[in-house]
Parts: sequence; structure tokens; C-alpha cells
Amino acid sequence: MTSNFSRLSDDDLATCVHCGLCLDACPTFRITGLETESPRGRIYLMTQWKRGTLEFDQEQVKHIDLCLGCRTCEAVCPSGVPYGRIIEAGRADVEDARRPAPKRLGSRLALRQLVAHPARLRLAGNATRLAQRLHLTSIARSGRMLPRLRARYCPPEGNIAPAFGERKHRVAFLVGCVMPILYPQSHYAAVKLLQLAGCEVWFPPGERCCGALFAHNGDLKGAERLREANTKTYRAGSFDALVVDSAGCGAHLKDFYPELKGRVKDLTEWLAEVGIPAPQKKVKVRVTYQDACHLAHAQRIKKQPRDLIRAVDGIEFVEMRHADICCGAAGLYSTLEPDMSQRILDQKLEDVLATKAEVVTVANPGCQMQLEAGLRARGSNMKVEHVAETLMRAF
Amino acid sequence: MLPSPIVEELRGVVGRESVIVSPNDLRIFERDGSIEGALPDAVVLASTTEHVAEVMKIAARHKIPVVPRGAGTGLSGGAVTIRGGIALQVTRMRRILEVDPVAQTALVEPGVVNQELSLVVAQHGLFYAPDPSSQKACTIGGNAAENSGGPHCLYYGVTTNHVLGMEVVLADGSVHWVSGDTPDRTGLDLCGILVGSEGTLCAITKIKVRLLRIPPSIATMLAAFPSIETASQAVSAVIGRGIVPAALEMMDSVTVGAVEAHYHAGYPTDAGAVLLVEVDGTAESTRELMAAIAKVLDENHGYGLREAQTPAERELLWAGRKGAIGALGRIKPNYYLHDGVVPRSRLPQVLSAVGEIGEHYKLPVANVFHAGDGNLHPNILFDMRDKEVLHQVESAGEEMLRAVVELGGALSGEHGIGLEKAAFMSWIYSEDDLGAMHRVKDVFDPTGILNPGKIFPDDARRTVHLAGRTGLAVEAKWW
Amino acid sequence: MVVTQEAPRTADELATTLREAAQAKLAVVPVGGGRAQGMGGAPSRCDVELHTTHLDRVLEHSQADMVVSVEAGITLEALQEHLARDRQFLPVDPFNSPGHTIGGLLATGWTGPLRFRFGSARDFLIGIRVATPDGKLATGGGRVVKNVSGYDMMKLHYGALGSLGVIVAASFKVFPRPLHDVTVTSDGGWDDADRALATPVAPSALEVFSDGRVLARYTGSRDAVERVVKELGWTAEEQSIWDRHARRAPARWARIAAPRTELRRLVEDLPRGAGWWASPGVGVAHWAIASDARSVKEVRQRAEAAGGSLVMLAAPDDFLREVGAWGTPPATIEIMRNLKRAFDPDGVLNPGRFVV
Repeated sequence: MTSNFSRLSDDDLATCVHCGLCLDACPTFRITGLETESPRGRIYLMTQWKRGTLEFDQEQVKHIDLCLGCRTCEAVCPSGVPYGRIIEAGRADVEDARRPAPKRLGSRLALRQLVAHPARLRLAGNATRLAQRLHLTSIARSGRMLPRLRARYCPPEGNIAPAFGERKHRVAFLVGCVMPILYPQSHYAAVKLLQLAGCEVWFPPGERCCGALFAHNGDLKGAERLREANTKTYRAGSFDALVVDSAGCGAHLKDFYPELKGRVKDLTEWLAEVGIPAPQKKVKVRVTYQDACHLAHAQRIKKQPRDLIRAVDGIEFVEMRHADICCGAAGLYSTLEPDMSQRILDQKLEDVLATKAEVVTVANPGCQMQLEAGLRARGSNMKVEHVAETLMRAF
Repeated sequence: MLPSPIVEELRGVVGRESVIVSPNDLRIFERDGSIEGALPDAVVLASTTEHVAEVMKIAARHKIPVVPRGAGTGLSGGAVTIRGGIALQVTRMRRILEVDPVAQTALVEPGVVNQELSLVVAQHGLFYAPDPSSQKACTIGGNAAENSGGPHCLYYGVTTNHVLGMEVVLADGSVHWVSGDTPDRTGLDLCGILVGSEGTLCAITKIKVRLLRIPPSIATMLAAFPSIETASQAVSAVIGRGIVPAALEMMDSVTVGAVEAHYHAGYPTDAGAVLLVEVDGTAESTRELMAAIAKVLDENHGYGLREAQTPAERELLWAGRKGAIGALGRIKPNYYLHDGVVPRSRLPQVLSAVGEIGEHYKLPVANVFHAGDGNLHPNILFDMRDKEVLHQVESAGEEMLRAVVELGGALSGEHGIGLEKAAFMSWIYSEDDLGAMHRVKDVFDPTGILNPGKIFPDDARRTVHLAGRTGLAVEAKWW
Repeated sequence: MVVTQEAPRTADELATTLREAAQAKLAVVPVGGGRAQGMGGAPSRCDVELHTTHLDRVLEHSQADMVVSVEAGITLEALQEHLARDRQFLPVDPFNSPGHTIGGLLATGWTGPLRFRFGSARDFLIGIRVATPDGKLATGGGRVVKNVSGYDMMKLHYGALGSLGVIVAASFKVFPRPLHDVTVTSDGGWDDADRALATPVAPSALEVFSDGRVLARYTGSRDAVERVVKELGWTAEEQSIWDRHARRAPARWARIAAPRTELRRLVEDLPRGAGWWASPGVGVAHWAIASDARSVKEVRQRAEAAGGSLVMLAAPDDFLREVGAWGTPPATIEIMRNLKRAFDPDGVLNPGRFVV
């Protein structure tokens, strides 16, 4: 079977010294107490498959499937193990070797046929909005997870949003696939902040999904196709930075698009770099912040969003315990592994509610959806919003 | 493989999901943080004391070895099931049961992660002092079993100084409380003998620990030295001056390079060695002590002295130290690590011996250790994929340990004897010394099911192969 | 009954003497400085008194390593004098001083006020050598300050009152003399003691007395100590007060130990007019008994109900018999008995004196 594990790099795997420092950073280990559901365990497993010292066995797939891909382990790993790269390669290899599973096939189909095509996705968004009005979505779990959909985000005429005042920078903005449908308000706030910060914002026409959801689920081919298409689009324009307000997409663009090297910026990273004007309104609200895994761990950005939030006059910022531990959303994970996702969410909600904050600020649509659904189920009126919205409270 | 009736018995206790017998899954539990591995016959996850007790009774009935296991971060093979049997996993027992801010104590389950406890009690202005470098992941249960140390043990003492009492399960499945939060308890100090017994006398199911007040002021300083020898002398000079810092840590140039590549903590990569010094107390006392220490370091060839100005800077300096051993993975994928202790004044001698041994075997060695305690951590770096090298690595490690013993030292300062150093116990203890320890073992575990193959030399398993070095005689005992 | 007095010259000789006595099934009572002979029950038998008087050498003191190894019969004062040459000391200040031997202190586990800052000798005992009734000498630990090589045999013998073996030598981590050492006093009783407990630098020793007097000793950095002492605003006291305090040894006394948070209540509930002193930071009080055996038993009951203990340190034989030396045996007594049998199968060591 070893020949099947061709995408895994033995040199990557060998960087793990088996010290175990990652264990308690892993949400699935924290829940299960099982090393089979830990980064060290998964790497050990993949290493044995790669080296042919352990037969691949269908039962083992679950350990790979249960990984959230949150990469918290990567941030705490002193040996610099490239876990993100390992698990993506491992997933791709496992996809080849596994027995077909209807749910996984379905999600791949949905990704390839729906998410990769902006027009079809828009259509699906409209259909869902209608279904919500008719209360049809509450029937399925995945339906209950969805936020109440608003009108989809539309880039301005001419695909340009001008800087307010003097133009200091020109940035491209990733509109993305599901974000404009699920959380148009985040985009509106993000773009406005960029304009306030003196950025002219360009919306690359024809831009498609960045491919993150594909890569995270072992469909590297699908991800490559999207990269090729998008790279052409980006070449057509000039910009100082490609600003991304979704952490998962940002991380993927940084890792997977060599041509954009150094120019992909998370919204908070960029705003911290260029500065935003002084707040215009005084606010009074207690805020806590949930790190997005793909921001805190994959991109190592934890300070900037906190600094920006803290800088708003009148925001009382409370740090939640385990803020940098995943909420269990992890892209399609909440659909593919609903039980584990829910257990992780339950633990997360304890920490969230303990802050007694009015607002939980997030930096990624997946986290927002997961926390909203969780808080809704607990009957809490704590509001979840994107960091751009929190910052826009002051303007 | 356990016979299926026994597996069913175990499942009857902890539930179907909590007994792992699939050979492929068991593979993941064959190792801890050390080099050697051995497959368990089953992994059993306990969630309560009752689970542990019932599992122990089953094991006792069938004479199956039981090896308690926490996060498996140990570095001496303590959690390796070398004779097979049950790996009794306590990672699900991770509740902090009580925190008493007035009495300054906490009652925790064994699977509570060391750092998690300090995070939780920080709201009361308290902390748990023992801080092994693996504190992000290692468990208090494992710490108690190994009597773990850490950088701050120089001033605060090791785990045994902070464990007030424990609930333990003995080899017959009986449950007992040993000691508690009252000083001077009547009778023998069972808690004292059980802490550090490496899972060979009992399984630990609850631990009552002492908490300390977070000092109002902490000062941390980094100093560079031209060589390991000069740094070692500076360490002795500081302590000789009557100053016991909270921590006094050393890293050699190899380590500094690896650490700096990952943490960017501002360690001087051109130095021969780096010292990390910390003092705590009130603002007045840390200022006074730091000034005194700076003077001593300066007089002893220290340069580039840099004091952390913010808590974030301090954290970064420590992140580098605590992640140092893992960071060595950047040089070679595997390390073999000993943790011998020598009288502090012998550090220069032992470190030069370590260097020579590394050169002799052509193996890179990185030193990162608790200099204030004389507790060294020579890391021999290698790539396990090279099958030839492992034997060389073991021999080199053994020689280093021999050098430690020859200089009046001990085999282990904080990692435990475990599997790795059992064969060397006779270097420091006579037959009668070991005989006395055996009497203790036989009282607690007469049938020998608890973590067999650990601590005591096992002639059948592995012999010492002390190759090469001529070796001085072990220094005469002082009594 | 004739009691043989033996005072071996060396550890080996002591081990041999012990073996010969054990073979003859003679009861052996180890004696150090004789300062704690009143502790525990009166020995049910005593055929041989085994004195450690001649084992009184400092075996090795490394100033740079701050480690000292001594034979068990050396007195605390002789050791302190030796260490003082290098401005070091062993932070033990037991009551009924002077004259304690190191072996005696380890066997009894006696402590004094400095325990608050430094812990008991249990915390800085790093090596031990013990003679067992089979004539063997067994070492545990070593002479390094941090050591997990094998079982922590030091803990087994510390406070075991010689019931498992006779301590012949020990190694300690020693401490530098503090940079600054100041003692202050007040007559504000427990409330003032609580104030001292909450100062930003904790005192190294804190004692409160039945007459309301409080003694607080602060050690460490000069600036820090002076600031704390100034804020406290108490009266300065001579350092020699501690020597006088350590000499305390009433003819009839007991040690009450309890969780720190329970100690005050226990002490305040002592019979009216009782004389006592306590270390509130540790959870230990000493009571100079002037009342009858019944009231001692009542106090013990209260102490045990709070999770603590009351141990008699000295009293006339009949009083001691009535009160009992140790109180309710611990729940783990069977394990302790098994350990006793493993080390002293014939029960020749200190029979009747300890709980096992």
C-alpha cells in the first residue's frame, strides 16, 4: 500500500521528534484524551504508512478525518513540523486509499459542482434564503447551522471602491465563494475600513473560490484548478496587497499561491500595518475575541486583531480562556464530523459564556456560523460578529 | 494480545469505546517522548478512580502488567509498556476538582495539564510552581509519578515539595488517600515515597497540590558568554555569592541557533553559551538581586546582558528555553537526551567530557539545561532513519552518564530512571541500596504487575555496553 | 531489666551492633541527642540503647555546591558552626534546643519557625544512609540537589522515628545566610499575624503566642525587607529572641498540626489560660499542657475532626498512657505495618514507640 502514500514527504514527517508538546493544543485530543486523535499520533500513523511499517487499514481513516486541520499544533510545535502540509498531503493520500463514503463523495461533489462556480453558488444562496423564509432549513442539522441569509454582497460598480480622502494604497479584495452569501455585512464593513484607511479597493473580476475548502478536504486537484484560474485574474491587475477577511482563505492563499508571496494580507494584518484613522464614535460594549485557527496558527496573527479592537475607545476587551483553541467549525468539518464538532463547540461555549461579553468577535465565517448556532441553541443573546464589524462600530 | 474475555471484562468497566485493542491503533501508544517503544496489549481509558481500581483488580487477577500513562511526554521510557499489558490512560481524568485560594491548595485529577492548572488559579493570584519544559502538555499525574522538575525548581523545589497528598490505587485495586493538607501527619510518609515512584508502586488518581502566590515582580535577564566553561563558572559565582535565583538556565551555541530560528527571541547566536536568569519577589528585591547578579555575570565574562522589559519579552525568552529541546528537531529529526546531575562546581568538567564524547562518536550534541541545579541535558542529535547510528547514540549517551557518575553525580535529575537508565542503577547504588528499594516495591506491588521493567536493573533485557572510554573509577562514596 | 548502652565508632560498627541485637531479638532504641525522647509512646521494651554520639563528623561540605554530608550523631549546633564559616546554614530551628543531633531531627521530623519559609528538613534532605536490622547499610539519594534516581528513600525514613532503620548519615542542600535578616514584634495576636501573612514579601518565620505576642522574621533583599517592615509598623526585636524561643520545652507538651485555615480555631478552643505558640503560616502549634488528660483528648478529637493531629512530645508516663501518644491511627496503617515488617521483621526497632 505504501506506494499510495506518495504525496506525504518523509522529510516533513521526520521533523516530528515525538515530544508530545502538541497534545493539549489539539481540540480532538482534549476531548477524547486519545493519542490516536492527536497530532503526534496522526503523524506517527502517517509516518508508518509512508515507510511501509504499518499496513493502511480502513479503520484508521477516522483518525485523519477527525483532524480539524486547525493547525494549533503547528503553532506550539518547537520542531517546526509543517503539520498543515502533512495533513493536506495525508488527506489526499487517504482519499485515494479509502473506501468510498457517501457523505465525503457528496461534499466533494458539492465543492466541485457548486462552490467552484460562482453563479451556481449564488443560485444556491437564493434558494436557501427562500427555504429559510419557508422554515424548511430547520429540518436538517446543517440547515439549522446557517445564519439568516441577507442579500448577497455585491462589489461596487466598476469593481473599484475609492479611498476616502487621499489614496495611499491600492489593494485587491477577495470576495470569495460563500462569504458574500453567508456574511455580506462582514465584507461591507471590511471594505469601508479599507477605504477609511486610504486604500483604493479593487475587486478582481472573474475571481473564483480560492480553493481552501478543496485543499483542506484532500482535493488537491480541485484546488490546483482554481489556483490556475485565479492566478490569471490577479495578473491582470496591480495592487500592493491582496486583502482577505476570511482567515481560512488567507492562510490558503499564503501557502498555495507562490506568485502572491508576501502580498496576501489578512484584513487585521493589513490594517495594523497601514493604520486606521481615529475612531469617530464612542462605543460602550464588552467584547471578547475568538482566534480563527487559520489566522492564529496558520498565519500566526494573534496580536493585530486584539490590538485593533483594544484601540477602540469604549470597548471593554476581555480575553477568553483558550481563545486560540478551535471552535469545531473547521470548514466542512461541522458537516462531516458533526458529533466531534458539537463536543468541541460545547467546550468552547463554556469559555465564551464565562467572559460575560456582549460580543464575540471573529475573523472567519466558519467560526461565526459555528458560534452563532451554538449560542442560539443555548438561548444566549451574545452577538457574534466579524472583526471588521466590531471596528466599524466606532465609525 | 489479551484474550477476548479479559477485553470484555475491561469493556464492562470503562465502556466499549474506552478499550483499544486494534493492533494498528495500539501502535500509536508504543512510545512516549523517549526513543524506545513497545506495544501495549490494550489501551484502557479511565474516567474515574473506580475505573482505575476496577481495571487494576482485573489486571491483578490475570497478572497483566499495568502502566499508567498521562500525556506520554516522559523522556525516560516510563510510560512504555515494555512487557506489554495495559496502558492505563488517565488523560480523560482532567478535572480541577477544587481550588482553595485561602489555604492555597488545589485538588486535581491526574490528567490535568500542568500549565492549565496555573492558568486557572491565576485568577486568585496563585500559581503551581513546578514547571517542566513540557508543561503545555504534560499532566500533573505524570509529574507526580516522575517527581518532575523544571527551570524554577532551583528556588521553588521539585514536584515532591508541592504535593500535599494523593489518592492512589495500589496493585490490588485498593484505593487510599496518602497524606493531605495537614503538616506532620502521623505515621510513615507514604505520599513522599509514592511521588517519584514512576508508576511502579501505584496509579495516582487525585493529587492535592500546594499553590504559591504569584510574586509581584519578576525580572528576567539574558547574558551571553564566550564559552560553556565561562558560563558555568558564572553560575557557580552567582550561587557562591549567596544568591539563589528563581531560575538559572544555560543553552549552548548549537541550541541557541536552533531556538533562535524558531522563536526569534533575540538570543545572541554568536555566543558560546547563553544564560537565562530569573529572580522574583517585590520590585525592590528583584531590582537589588538583578543588579547584584549582573555584576557577578559581568565579572565572569558575561556580555550583552539584556533584561526583559515587558511581560511579553519575558515570555518570549522563556518560550525559547522551554521549546529548546523540540527546536533541535531543526538540526536532526531525533534526539537522545540524558538528564544527569552533578555537583554544580563540576559542570565545566562534565560538559567538556560530554563534548569529547560527542566528538569521539562524530555526533552533534546540544546542551540546554538547569545550570543552577547542576542538572544537565545533553541532547545527542541524530536521524533515526539511519539504522546504524542508533547503537552509537546509545553508547555515547551511556558514556556521558558514566562521566556524570564519575564526577559524583546522579543518573537523573527530573526525567526518571524508567526504561532507559535502569541498567545503570548499579553504578550509583550498591546491591544493599537497591535491596532496600526492592523491599518497598514488594510491599506495594508484591506480584510485580505495576510498570514492570522500570527503575530496577533487569539483567535479561539489556546490558551496559560502555564502549571506548577508559573511565575513571567512580569517585569513592563519601560515607 | 538491664539496658546495654552501645556507642559504635563507625557506621559499619553500628550496623553490626544492630544486626547482632536483632539476631538475639533484643529491642533496640536509637538515641541521638536525647532531646525528643519524650515523643511517642514509651518503648514497650528496651534492651539496647544505640547511641550515635561518636558518629559526629562532617563528611564533606562543598561551599560552591552548597551541599553538606554529615554523620547522624553531629549536633545541629556543630553543623551550623561549620557552615557559618562559609556564610551558609541549614534552616532548621527545632524547639528543645540546643543538643539535637541531625539523625534525631530526621527521625522525629521536628521543625521550628523557619519551616514557614524553608520547609522542613524533608524538603532539603537529599541523601540518607540507614542501617537496617539485617546489618546492611542502605543509601538513598545522593549529594546532588535534584535527584530522581530510584525511590525517594529519604521520605521513608524522615519522621519514621527509627522504626525502619537507624539513620547513620545524611546529605543536605544548604542555604546562603540571608542578605538581610530582621525581626519585628507586635502584641496584636492572630489578627496581626494575618496581616504579616499578607505582606508582599512573606515572612520567613511567623510565630503567634497565647499572650497575644507576634514575632515576624523577614529575610532577603534589604530594600524589600525594610519596605515591608516599615509598612507593618511593628517594634524591632533582637535576633537572639529566636535562640530563646528555640529553647522552649515544657515538661508536658504536645504538637497540634492542622490545615492552616483550621489552626486558629483549634488554638482558640484550647482550655482557658492555656499556654501555646503557633506557626500560623505552617499549620503547627505547640501546647504547654496544664490541664488534665481528658481535656487533651478532647483537643485531639477536635484536631482530628479538622483533619489534623495531636502528638505528645513529653509527659509523665501515666499521663502519656492515658492520653496515648499518637491518636487515631491513619487509615493506611496496614500499608505502614507491611513496610515495617519488610524492614524490621522481628520488630526490634523502637518497639511500641511509633505508630507501627
